[in-house]
Amino acid sequence: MKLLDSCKFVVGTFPATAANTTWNNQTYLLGNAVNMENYGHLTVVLIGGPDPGPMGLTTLINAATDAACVIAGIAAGTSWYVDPSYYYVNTCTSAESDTWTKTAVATAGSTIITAPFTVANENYIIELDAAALTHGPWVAVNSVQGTAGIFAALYILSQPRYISAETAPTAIV
Amino acid sequence: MGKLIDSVKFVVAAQCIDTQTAWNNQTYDLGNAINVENYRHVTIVLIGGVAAGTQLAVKVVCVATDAACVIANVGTTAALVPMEWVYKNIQTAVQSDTWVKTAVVSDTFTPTTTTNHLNWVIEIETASMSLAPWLTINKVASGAANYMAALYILSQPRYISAEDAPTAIV
Repeated sequence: MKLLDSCKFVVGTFPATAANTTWNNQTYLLGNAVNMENYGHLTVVLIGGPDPGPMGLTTLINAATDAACVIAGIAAGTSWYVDPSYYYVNTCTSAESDTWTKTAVATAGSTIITAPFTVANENYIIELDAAALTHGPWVAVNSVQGTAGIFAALYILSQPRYISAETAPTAIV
Repeated sequence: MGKLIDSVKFVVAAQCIDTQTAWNNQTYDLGNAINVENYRHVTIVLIGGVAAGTQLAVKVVCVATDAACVIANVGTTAALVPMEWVYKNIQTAVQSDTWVKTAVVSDTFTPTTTTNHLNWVIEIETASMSLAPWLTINKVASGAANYMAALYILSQPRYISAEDAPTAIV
């Protein structure tokens, strides 16, 4: 069975430079938000590169609508942080590795990772159950503008309400 | 509900890297080979960036050992993994999460040369590998500076071991 039959892959952020780039969910290239209404679980994979960053504060944002799913809405009360409690980090700084180390979030209730991609070839996984969302089905990964490096992000939505081989429900509308 | 990391193994195949560099399996950040002996299925996700030049042939190589898992050995000690189709996602101007099933010829596909933000999913049943258990994605160096990342997702493990899935790189 193909994984594509049971999961929905959505590119969160294309390989993009951290300098002058905030993952903001407002363009499809940068932390594009996803709608979890048809999925029970979300996995976010962040892939670093040989040129270290870091990026800035990295969070997950939750809101009732796509447009509201931005970090600016936190202060306005139209979006909210999601706290997954922990994330997983993988580092290939000097040798290959497929070990993912469970790590507590930086600040409970808000920041997940303070400065991701501080060293070369760091990668992260964030796991989130839809049940943890408190303000609607939309979720976006947000990362404050960094200083250097090229990084990408991938959303994998799993545990779908509907099994529909090769035509899984969209997660971006 | 379970975390995906409890039931699959994530291995970064290629970090976000300038595609002027060939993915060769000989360094850990360039198409790193994986051992699929404990998994029945492999999904490979390729994430493209801004295309600044030619992207060249992508193949998947299989062989008996990590060191031999290189494109140069295809036809002797290594072989290409049969690949009849790939799934393509394109976001040139708008967001999209649609993956279009696309036929592949000669177990090789070539990402479009001038299209930005082109992404690919390759699905492989490990039973289809003529040589095992090592597998790697190989991509010829591009003609200009582009960025592309690749992720292996190994699923249907022989052993379910939450948060401690068997390694796939040794």
